[in-house]
Amino acid sequence: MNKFVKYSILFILLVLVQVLLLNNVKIFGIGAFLYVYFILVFPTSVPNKLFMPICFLLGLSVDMFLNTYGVHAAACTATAFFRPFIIKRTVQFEGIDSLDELTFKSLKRNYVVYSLILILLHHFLLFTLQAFSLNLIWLVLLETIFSTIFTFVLLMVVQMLKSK
Amino acid sequence: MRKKFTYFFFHLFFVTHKMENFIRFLVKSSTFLEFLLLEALALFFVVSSDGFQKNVLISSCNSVVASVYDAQAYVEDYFSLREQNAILAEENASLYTTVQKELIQDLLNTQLESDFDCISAKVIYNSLHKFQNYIVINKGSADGVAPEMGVINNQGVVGVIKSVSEHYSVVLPILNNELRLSCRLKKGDYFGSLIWKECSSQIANLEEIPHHVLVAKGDSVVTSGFSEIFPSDILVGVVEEASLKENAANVDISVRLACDFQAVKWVKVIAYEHREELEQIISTIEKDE
Repeated sequence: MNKFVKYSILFILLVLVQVLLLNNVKIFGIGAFLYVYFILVFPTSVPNKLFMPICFLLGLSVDMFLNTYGVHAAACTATAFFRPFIIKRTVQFEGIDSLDELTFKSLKRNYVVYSLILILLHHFLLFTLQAFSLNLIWLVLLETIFSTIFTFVLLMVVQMLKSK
Repeated sequence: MRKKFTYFFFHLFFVTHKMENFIRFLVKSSTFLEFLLLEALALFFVVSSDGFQKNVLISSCNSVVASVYDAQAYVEDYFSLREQNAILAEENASLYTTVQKELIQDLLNTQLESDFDCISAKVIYNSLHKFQNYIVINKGSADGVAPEMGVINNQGVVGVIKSVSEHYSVVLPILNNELRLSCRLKKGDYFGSLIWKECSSQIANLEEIPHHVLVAKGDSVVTSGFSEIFPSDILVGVVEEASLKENAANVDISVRLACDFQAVKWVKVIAYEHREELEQIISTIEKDE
């Protein structure tokens, strides 16, 4: 399948899943943001200059549905910007090159570190922007940690389903 | 001291050197500028969302977003069908029973129409737990209500009119020991009179039933129709308990009343058409005696 079509479908699918399904699923008031999967799985061969606007649009479309006005867009863009550095630190450190799509199947332990760092970064930015105040820093940190765990579990489920 | 300073400067140099490298890398790639631009745009959205001038384009007022939510609601409606069905069925059942009740009442009315007339009235006062209980209804002599008229509701006998004013009447309910109601055991056609002795709003006593009569729990007690107060065969209650004491002439029968006095809201006053005529005849009999 054409990569453009494939990732377009993934884009729409993840936004819809996030908005229609996960938005209604809250465990102890904590939600998951699985659409980050798009940022994690996007081909590394695509230059960041193109990758960032795509992630900006991804965040903005989630913003549109959740009425959060650019909070997701900001978090997504930042996550996209920092992704190459994180990949350098976690994945390519092991000398694995020329991997276009990063999956758990190919990276195993490194994928856990890579995805956890990215999700944590994204969620931290998201909650910080939403709170917009330093008084709530502990609340933001707590929410970030628990939400990251929730998203990570869902991500692993997706990875398991995909590898089957 | 010197060592420390050297170390400090070395460290500073090292870090700034790295930082410089880092910044140079960022600027050179110009990705950083793009990042800043996008972040600025996103933050502009965040900041400008405060206040009333919310951006319609990036909120769920957007038509694409709205249509997606519409579709979601459309699908969710199907999931709640079972629940909605149950609610409708319940409503249907309750409506059905009300209609049926009204139909039965209509039948009752047509049956009574021959010589009885019904005046429907609303209960505006009701006592339950006194020794002498009374009910007040909102129809009086102006509406054709007169003392000694029977009062029923859709469940059964309520009582008898005691006194009337122009627009209100006092009803002596079964729950008042002033009232003796002539009753009949439907099974076996034995007559007795119903008196309320207990302080329960549901139980009254049926007296004057001879001891040889076999009374079973659940037998229905109806009006005798011997007076101008009630037509015959209107339900009063069902036998709750029957006991025979040694050497007693009569059976002690307690009757569970059909009318739920706690919930009585609407009643019908039974006006006998030839009431005065009948009264006159009865009074002549009494004179003869």
